[in-house]
Amino acid sequence: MLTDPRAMSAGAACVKVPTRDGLVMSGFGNREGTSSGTLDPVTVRALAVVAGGVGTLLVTVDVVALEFDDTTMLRREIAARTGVLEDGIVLAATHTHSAPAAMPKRVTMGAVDPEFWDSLRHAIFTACTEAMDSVVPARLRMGTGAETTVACNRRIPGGLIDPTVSVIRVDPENVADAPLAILVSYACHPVALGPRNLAISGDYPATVRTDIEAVYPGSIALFATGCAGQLNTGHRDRTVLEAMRLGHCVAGTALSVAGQIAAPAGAPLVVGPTTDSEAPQVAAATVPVTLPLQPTDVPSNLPSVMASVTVLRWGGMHVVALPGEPFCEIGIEIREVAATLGLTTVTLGYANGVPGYLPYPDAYASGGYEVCQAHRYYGQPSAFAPDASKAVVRAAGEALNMVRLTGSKQ
Amino acid sequence: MMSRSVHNRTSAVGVSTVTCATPPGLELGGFGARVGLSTGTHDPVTVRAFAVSDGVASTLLVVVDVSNMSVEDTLASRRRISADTGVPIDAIVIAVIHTHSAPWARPDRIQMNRIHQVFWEELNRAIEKAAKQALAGMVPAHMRLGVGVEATVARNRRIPGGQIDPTVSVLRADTVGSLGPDPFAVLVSYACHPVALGPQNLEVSADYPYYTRRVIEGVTGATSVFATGCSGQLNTGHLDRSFAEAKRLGDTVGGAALQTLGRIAPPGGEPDMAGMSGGVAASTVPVQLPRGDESGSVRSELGVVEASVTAFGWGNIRLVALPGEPFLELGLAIRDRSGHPLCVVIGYANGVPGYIPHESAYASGGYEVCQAYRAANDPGPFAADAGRNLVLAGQQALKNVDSQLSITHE
Repeated sequence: MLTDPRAMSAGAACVKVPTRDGLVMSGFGNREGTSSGTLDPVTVRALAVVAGGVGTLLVTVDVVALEFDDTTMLRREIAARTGVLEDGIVLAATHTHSAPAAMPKRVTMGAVDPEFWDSLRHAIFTACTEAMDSVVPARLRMGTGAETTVACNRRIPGGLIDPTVSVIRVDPENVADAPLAILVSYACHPVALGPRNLAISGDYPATVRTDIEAVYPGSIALFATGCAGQLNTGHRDRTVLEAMRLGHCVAGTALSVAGQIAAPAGAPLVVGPTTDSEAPQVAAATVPVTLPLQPTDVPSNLPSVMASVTVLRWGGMHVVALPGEPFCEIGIEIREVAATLGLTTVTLGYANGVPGYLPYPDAYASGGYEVCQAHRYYGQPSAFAPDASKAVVRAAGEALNMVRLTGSKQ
Repeated sequence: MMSRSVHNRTSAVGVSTVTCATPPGLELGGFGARVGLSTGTHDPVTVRAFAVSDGVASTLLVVVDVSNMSVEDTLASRRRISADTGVPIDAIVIAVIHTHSAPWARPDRIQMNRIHQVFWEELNRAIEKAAKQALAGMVPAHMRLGVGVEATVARNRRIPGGQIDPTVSVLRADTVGSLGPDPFAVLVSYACHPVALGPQNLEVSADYPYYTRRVIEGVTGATSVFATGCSGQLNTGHLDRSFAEAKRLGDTVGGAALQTLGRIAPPGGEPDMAGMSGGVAASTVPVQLPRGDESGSVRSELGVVEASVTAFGWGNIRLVALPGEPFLELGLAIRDRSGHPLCVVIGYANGVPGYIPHESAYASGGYEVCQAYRAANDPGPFAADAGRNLVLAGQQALKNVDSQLSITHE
């Protein structure tokens, strides 16, 4: 690692996870049958950003969800292998509903094939070590675009969505037109493919990545799902072709932004490294959070669920990684509050564990799938209480403060 | 005349690309300041044709990767194509993309060396070949038109921060019965001089439109045609005149086009609402472009250029092709007052006899009004009446197309 705290380095890797037919897929309670064929392989993609001896790893995994306990163990193992502290590692599920089950402890979400689980774990380790081993001096730039037609609010027709397409492009220093990685985040359930689809797929994010990699050959595209609790693809036509169409829309926006933020005169929303600070350019903080469950009639020994919020700071940009399936209001609120403090953020969901939906407090009055039903699929006695989302927002604020003030929680 | 029932006619679209050899030693057109002949080819000169037919009427749009062709030469090409194919001259448009890094295609303006003579002959054959191939390759198709926005690529070079036309018009053609998300032909139009590459560049290239087409073709597999909009005073800002910058700008426009491509084809969306149920029509209206003094007044002793404006009607879609280098206001005047929500106005079509300023430009003079005509050895700039006549001719051509199509509604 480089010693100048101002010099950032980055590396990326993509590792395919072998799958076979006959795997139990996860995401839909009403799916019948096991996996048959592969549209696009399950991949693990890692982006390593380091500076001044501090390393961070953002890892996306093409599954519907990972367990908090499993991500904790995986992060510990990654830390041991790479030297990146656990608090600086984010394992985010893309939340594709067309991948094999990957939560061994939750039988309700589908039986996990031991061989797949083993391959997945190894792919995660390999992606992380390859990304860390490949770091080169790099320049990070971030910008945002808008795509208003892909995500739909499934609770309120025409209701709030988060149209933000966040893009972080990572270019090797002194190379103008060959980014090594492009990270795209958009808030929408990858459910263009429905329960009838039995082919393994990354859903629309797979097309987003393929499109970007076609335009920037040699780069690795990462897709991290935003706060998409109540946002889905609208179920207009649950086909591969529709997944591709939606992917083109998001990819096109991302490509526009990727071009805009690399303007020679400087159009990026925020860059790394920042020039006005002596603080290390890379910092990370993980704040534990306890997510309270709603009371039930039946006595339960599971009154709350452990999770955590992680913030990675790369120069002037902050990746806020939230657990579970946060409603879009949560991501928007965190971004807006951070912006008032002059902080540019990208808010991800499904990170370091997905124990269930995190509805925004005002959603409880109207009930609905996320509030009243989904916890059964997750195998929980009840849904999270309204205070759960508040706790997550609070923890995000705390983590943002930590990376801002002290550089790193070490 | 027999009445025709256009609603039941099958529409067809064909597209083609023909490549032209460009050996070193060619004189590149566009910049007076350029010294030296071409040293190589970055991307070859292509001629692309887009044919639309309703079984009775056909139109041909041919776009050539050069900076300029004369009214006379385009007319000669249109005559030959018409004689060979039966498509009326009035339904044929030969436009140039206006790249400033292609060999001159104005034999009247340069002394062609032997290599250039060979190129010129091959270019003319390529124009005819592309037209014939597009017609021969027509298949039953749906067309859809939509617009995206790209506000950072084009700059108003006369007024810092001044008006641009950020519209990225995208027309996609899908095979009837195809279930794919990807069209087979995509026409993209954006209003900005292709001058990312400056006079120092001696490699043949289509400039940023090359990359825009490559985004569409790389991602979707379609053949992409780029037509430059009314960009008289719009350029790329000269931030960094390199291929990397041309790629960045082209990718940025390509991203906006890709996003639009997806957005205009939602499942269940009725393609014919934007497409072909209304039949195909074309009208070419002669237009007089009087020369004048630098204040914009007509000076009859300086002569008049006889050119033409063509409008195509493809169902509800309209394409208006203007000669010369029209200022953006002229395109907007036609498009925004056309009464057609699905209207695209391109420039550089059927001859590029010079800049056609908007009447508001004369007071401030500048390159397009006071200098460009001298470099071209023209007796004077076009007068303000040229721009006015262009708008009137565009409106007349649209009216003619409307009446052809509405007559056939009976």
